[in-house]
Amino acid sequence: MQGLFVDDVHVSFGDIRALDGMTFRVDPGQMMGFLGPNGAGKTTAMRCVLGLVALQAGKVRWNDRSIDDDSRRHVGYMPEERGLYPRMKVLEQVVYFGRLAGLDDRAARAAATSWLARLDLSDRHDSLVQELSHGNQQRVQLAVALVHSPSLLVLDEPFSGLDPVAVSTMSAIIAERAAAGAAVLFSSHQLDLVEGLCDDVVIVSHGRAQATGRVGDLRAASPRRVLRVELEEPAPASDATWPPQIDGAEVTVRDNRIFEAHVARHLDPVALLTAIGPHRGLRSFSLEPPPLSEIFLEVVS
Amino acid sequence: MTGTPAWQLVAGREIRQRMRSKAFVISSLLIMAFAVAGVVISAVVHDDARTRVRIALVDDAGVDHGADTPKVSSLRDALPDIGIALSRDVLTTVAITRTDGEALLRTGKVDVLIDGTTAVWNRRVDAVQKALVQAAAQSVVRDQRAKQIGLDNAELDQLVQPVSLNTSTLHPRESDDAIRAGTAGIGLVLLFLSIQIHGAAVLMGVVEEKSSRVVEVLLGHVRPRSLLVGKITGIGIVGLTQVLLVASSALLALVTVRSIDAPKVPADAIGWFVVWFVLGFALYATIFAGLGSLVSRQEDAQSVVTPATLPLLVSYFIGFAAVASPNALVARIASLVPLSAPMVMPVRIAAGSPAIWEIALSLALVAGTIVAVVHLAGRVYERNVLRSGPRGSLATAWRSARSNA
Repeated sequence: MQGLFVDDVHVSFGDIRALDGMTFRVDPGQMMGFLGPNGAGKTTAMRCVLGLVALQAGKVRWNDRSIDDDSRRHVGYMPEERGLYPRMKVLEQVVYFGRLAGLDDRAARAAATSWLARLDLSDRHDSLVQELSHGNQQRVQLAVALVHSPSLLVLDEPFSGLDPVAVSTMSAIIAERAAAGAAVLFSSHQLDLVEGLCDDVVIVSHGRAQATGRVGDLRAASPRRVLRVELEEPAPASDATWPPQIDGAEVTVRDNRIFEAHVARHLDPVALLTAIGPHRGLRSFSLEPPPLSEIFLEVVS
Repeated sequence: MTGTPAWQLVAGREIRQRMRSKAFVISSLLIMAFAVAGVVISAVVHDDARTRVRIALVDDAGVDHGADTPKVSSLRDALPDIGIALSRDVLTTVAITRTDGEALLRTGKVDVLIDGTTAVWNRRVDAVQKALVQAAAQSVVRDQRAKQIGLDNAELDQLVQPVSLNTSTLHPRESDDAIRAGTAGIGLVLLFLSIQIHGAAVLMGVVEEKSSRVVEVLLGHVRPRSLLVGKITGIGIVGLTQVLLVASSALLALVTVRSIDAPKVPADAIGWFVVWFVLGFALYATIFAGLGSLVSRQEDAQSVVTPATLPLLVSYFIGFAAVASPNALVARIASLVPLSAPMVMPVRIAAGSPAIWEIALSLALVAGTIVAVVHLAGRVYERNVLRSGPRGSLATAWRSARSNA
């Protein structure tokens, strides 16, 4: 089996169980969203992949072999809290990390120059990192993670605190790496972003993966559906059939035009429409699986 | 994959970053200025106060006070000759009265006043000057007595024919003790400053990598031990470069200012200072790095290394005592104790003459300690370099170094 396989990993810090049987896989070419509340163990799991934390039990495997210092040269890492030398020049810094990852000087320089160009930092080669804005430092951090063309990318909150332009530049590059065959594991609290970028997610809490799979499948598997009805004209206050009465519905929005509620999965849409009343002018009607953010809350609570 | 080992890349970065930093240039210039100034001042002080003797003689106006009192005119001739034998330049002047002479003495215009058979100093009797005056007076009085009892010049010459004394030393040295003691003192200050400055650079480097979190990215590619060894090696090379710069500028100043022959400079002593810088730096920088890994903020760095800076400071003071008495018991013991040996042993080598076995034992003990400390500090570093939050205690560090997990 190719790719990353985190297999039943256990890690404790004193009395705290950080990872308690963490298991998931990331295949080559796959963009895996790594989701979970703060303290769920995401960062610890990523550090295990990087060999920064000693495992008490379990294994981290890469391409069917236990991951070691040699295979870690093929990993690109963006830590949660950014890590760059503040008083080192941008180009020099990216070249240095390329060399540490095993590139020779020329290859490292060429790769660093091209990544900095992709990230719109060509004119900042000789700036010190501490002179850059937060967003630009983040771009340098991504260049450091990519400079040696890693086949596994581990990105811990790569988009936190970025403006939409930076998010779209960086997410495009990451998606491109996945398309080129890299396995990508990235954590984020911006669930809409994850839903847009990833086909697959792992949702973790309490140190283990609680749900794994394609975003669409996870959503479809939810026992609930989101119903949304919008009328052309506001219903008169005297109308006793508005808002509609549905058994077991959790209503989230209710006014004289819009009705929104969580309903049970097996509810029949035709019966629903009938209950609302075929004589009304409908502007829109939708019955869909809940968004990823709700799946997330269902899984972790 | 290329063959450049990670620790060399780490060391290379340290060297490039530091050599071109303002801090390095400024601290190098400052220490070089200090070394040159030290040499110049000690040379000037040495020349003026030590080798030149100004003597005033109270005039006897040609009156003969008898054979037992040296005639002023004869004494003025004899003093410079005796001075040469004692490596002193003698300048004489004649005071009309004793009061005039005392005024010269009091205002520091002369060092000694001779009035008949009495020699007067301003505050303290200087042993060499006393011997000089004594010998000159002796030779003048001897000639006067010889003339009185009727010896002719040939008989006198025969009587005072000098005995030629052959001299040799068991441990020959080309330079004199004053230069060696000066070298020991200046060398000690520079050694202490260099270990302190570059040890602190290692400490700050470790803490900076922790506080900026760059260590997490680094350790994705580099083992902690390589990072530690590379950092200490790189900063050590920077420090050594500075030490060599300073040593050569001090040497140059010494040769220029004193117009002494280069061989008179105790090159062996200076060489030993360089050797002991390398050892002392390796020892203290490794301890600093291990302790530095316990904290994650620059503000905590100084306090966490106090257990190491204290022995460094104490060794420095023992070193100073050893400049004056290099063979005292305290100095001999301290030159073998690994934490103080890098400060005290080079001073003893420069100012005294420790036995070969003492030097060898001291080197072996320090080298052994460095190996042990690299091992221990390396483990503390490995365990703590990724830790963040409040500073780790020494007890935690010790436990983490001992545990095998």
